[in-house]
Amino acid sequence: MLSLARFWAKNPGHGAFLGVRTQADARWVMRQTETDQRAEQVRIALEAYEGPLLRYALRFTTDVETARDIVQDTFLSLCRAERVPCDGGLKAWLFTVCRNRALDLWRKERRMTPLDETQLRERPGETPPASTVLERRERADHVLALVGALPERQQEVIRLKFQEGLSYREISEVTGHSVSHVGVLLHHAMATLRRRLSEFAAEA
Amino acid sequence: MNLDANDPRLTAYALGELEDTERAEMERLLAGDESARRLVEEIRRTGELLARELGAEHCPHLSDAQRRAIERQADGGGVVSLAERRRGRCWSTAGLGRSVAGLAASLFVVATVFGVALLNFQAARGPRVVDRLSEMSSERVDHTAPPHGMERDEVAMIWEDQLAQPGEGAEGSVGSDEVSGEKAPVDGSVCYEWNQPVDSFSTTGGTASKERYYYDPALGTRSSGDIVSGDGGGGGHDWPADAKPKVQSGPPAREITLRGHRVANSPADAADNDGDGLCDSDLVELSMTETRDEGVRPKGDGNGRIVSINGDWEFDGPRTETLVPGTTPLGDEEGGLREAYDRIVDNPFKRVADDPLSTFSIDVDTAAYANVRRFLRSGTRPPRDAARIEELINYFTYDYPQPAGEHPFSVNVDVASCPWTPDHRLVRIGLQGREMAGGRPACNLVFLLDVSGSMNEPNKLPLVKEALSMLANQLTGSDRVAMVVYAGASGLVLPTTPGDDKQAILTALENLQAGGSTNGGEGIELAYKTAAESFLEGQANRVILCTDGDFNVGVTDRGALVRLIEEKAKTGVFLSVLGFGMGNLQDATLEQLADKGNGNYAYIDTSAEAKKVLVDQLGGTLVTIAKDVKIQVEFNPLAVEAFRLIGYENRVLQHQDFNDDTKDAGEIGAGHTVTALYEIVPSGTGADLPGVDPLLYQKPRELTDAANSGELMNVSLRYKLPDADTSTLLIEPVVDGGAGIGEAADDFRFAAAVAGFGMILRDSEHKGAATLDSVRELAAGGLGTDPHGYRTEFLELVELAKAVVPQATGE
Repeated sequence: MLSLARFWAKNPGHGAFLGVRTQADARWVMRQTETDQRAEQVRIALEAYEGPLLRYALRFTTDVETARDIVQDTFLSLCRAERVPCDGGLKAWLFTVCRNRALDLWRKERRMTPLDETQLRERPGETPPASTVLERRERADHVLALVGALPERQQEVIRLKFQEGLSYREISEVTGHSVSHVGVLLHHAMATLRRRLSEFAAEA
Repeated sequence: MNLDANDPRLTAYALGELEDTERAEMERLLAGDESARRLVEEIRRTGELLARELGAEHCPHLSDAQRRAIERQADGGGVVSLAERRRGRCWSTAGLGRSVAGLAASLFVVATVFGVALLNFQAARGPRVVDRLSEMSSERVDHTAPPHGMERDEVAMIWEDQLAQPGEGAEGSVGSDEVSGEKAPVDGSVCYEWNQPVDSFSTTGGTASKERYYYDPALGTRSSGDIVSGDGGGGGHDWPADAKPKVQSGPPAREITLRGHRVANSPADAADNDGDGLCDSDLVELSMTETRDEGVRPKGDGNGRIVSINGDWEFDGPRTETLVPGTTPLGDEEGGLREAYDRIVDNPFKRVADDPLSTFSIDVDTAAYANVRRFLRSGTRPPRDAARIEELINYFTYDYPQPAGEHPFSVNVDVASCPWTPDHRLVRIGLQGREMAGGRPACNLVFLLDVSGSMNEPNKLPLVKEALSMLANQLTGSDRVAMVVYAGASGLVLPTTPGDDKQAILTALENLQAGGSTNGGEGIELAYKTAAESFLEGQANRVILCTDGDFNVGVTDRGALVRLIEEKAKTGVFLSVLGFGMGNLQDATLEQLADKGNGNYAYIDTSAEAKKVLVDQLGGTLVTIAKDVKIQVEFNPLAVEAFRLIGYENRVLQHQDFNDDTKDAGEIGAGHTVTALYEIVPSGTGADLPGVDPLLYQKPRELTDAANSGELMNVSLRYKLPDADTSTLLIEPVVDGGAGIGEAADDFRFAAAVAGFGMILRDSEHKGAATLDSVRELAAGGLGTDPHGYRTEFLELVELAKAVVPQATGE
């Protein structure tokens, strides 16, 4: 976060960088000519997106190590790409490359096991979430479980929207679905989730 | 109007995804709908809950080593040693005790060895490398110790290194799916795809289907299918993910082919009779090229992925319109035989003494031009009968004046010398349809889509979806759209929907899948029925048929199909036909259907053409301003000895059909132009034409006073307004001003050039002295402003034609 602050101080124009969605359609910036610019960009991206990308990559593989490889490759692509989008477009770009890489590997290894929420949390070597309030934990588990029960396409879109904060358009870029299809998927997923959540609340 | 709970806009609105007009519209609708507002609130709350809970989900981390590697790469390259690049289980079981430095050192040595081996390809080294490759590309899931004492992934990485940074040994960056350090294709988003039949490979027993992969040099591979759902369709096939797209900068210095065997890793695989762990017959074959500039590289078709795996996989080559220079698009050799064109016999010269009349129906179809272009671009000569000259000429728009009077179109005639036979004269008749001023009439459209198996090609169904999306995006609330598909069974996939419900329309388009065989007849019935049900009185009602024309099942009898369309056309619903694809294109059928259906026929081979037909010229495609338009020309025997109508061979009418309002003819759409050319032999030239013997019972016709008027000919036109049953007559006498072709309007010269081109393609006996060079010169002189670049494109086609049409030595 400190480096972010430094970066913004040096480059006030980049205030919209990271996490803030821009509405602009023109995404691609001219290729970078200076290595430090790219290096700085990569470092910032690393800091902001390492975790979320890993979380996303884990949707595609059960193995943490493979997920790490995928994410490392993604960042290496960023280092080497001739042109990268600036600011708001970078996030979607990273997720797209990550997804493609993950699918490449999946095809190569032909291993696609549906991810179970319990598996995710029982990974060795991962620190458990900080929250200790039981009630909250229970509800969190439940929400995660409900999301996990959705069909794959809907699940992916829900996560990209609510976990990663991507817009419809960005989700469309990343997944290859059309924007309207993304809307339809989200709508159905939300309807299912709302229904199940209200059933749960009714029981509680 | 109450909002439907299924409306995805509710969620989009709740999540702040709607923009401007849509949002305003939504707010307006919500204002009057209490339950919908509550729903939106619920959605919002659920969204917040999800964001909270999902956002708190724990994120894992990269290892420090990995992070350092990335940072180092960002700082400008350098070695990424194996220690920093983890590659799965192999590494984690391999030997954590090894020192990083030691490994890197041994790696370097090995890499150099391999590097040397590759650059100086020795047969002795070959098999080992090949074994690696086959391992890389195998479906082996078991990552236990690979043979030869090497880590599987170390080998993979060395290979990648060699490819990524040739000549640097183990130096250089680790490869992955992007073009590293070389120039990406000019249009950075070039994608191409190939089909890999899964059924012959699958060991997971998934559904047999084709998958498509797109490769984007910047972003890596993506697939068009939904792999994430894991429906088994992904099993069994593979290709080296680290092969790179190729942009070759110079001729290859040396070509190396490596062949290897696929590793047998399951009982379902091809036989492994000698038990060596390799499939006996499956081959992995990689072609490498070595050039001075780039060293050893995988060889593509100029820019493609390189895998060519015997039997089950073919690399089909790029199939998108953005081609990288040097590549040749796929021709569909076998399928080419299935294309069907009606035989055309050129209109001959007719002597005025025998028959002074010429009668024909106008035609606004443009398909032949797009079709001819498709052939020429793929380096083949178009079939003679595919080059319908009137369609070539009418592809272009000409600058005729807008109609001023009561008639929906203006009639413009001019005369000049004939470029290919200077003694002759050339007459140009041009009709200009009235542009739509302001709004166009509301449209009631039914898309009738062929989703049979034959449409399952990248230049067919996906292009259909794209084209219709372009069209749908221009519709408004007063328009209506429905969608009917036919393939085996036919069905209404989108009931009549208002044109502003883009969600529903685009979703329905999106969900189209190809499969089954075609039963065109039933689909057509359903489409017309749907159109009739939502008929808009006095507006534009149209069925838009999108197909490759391959009617395989059911009403295969073309005559019966045509009669069906004819009958339906009488109900006031017109038909537009959009032809797609190659190989199965039943051009003659499609043209006839459009003709009988009171509509027009266009061939769509690229997005650009789709845009031309469905966006730029939308008015013409959708809105008919005059139907059953017929032309009858009477030539003055004092001025004209013989004449020839260029093109329109399959539009010629009997003379008595001109006055007969029950006889069907062509339609003009809003803004459309129609151009027809006559080649005239002036009287006194002494044309050597076969004539009829003098009659026994009649004297030769007597001339009237009108013959002395100095007029060349008289053009009569009949047309009906779109919902009229009786025709209106227009008369336009023509005087020859004696101009030479050089003084004629740009448009006239260009049209003449196109006619000449058509005649050359058809190898017509009437082409006179026309050559591709003279055609090009004439066209270049007539380019005019060419706002869309269509005419310049024509010049390119003339050049392309030189390669495939044998030329007589020019003068």
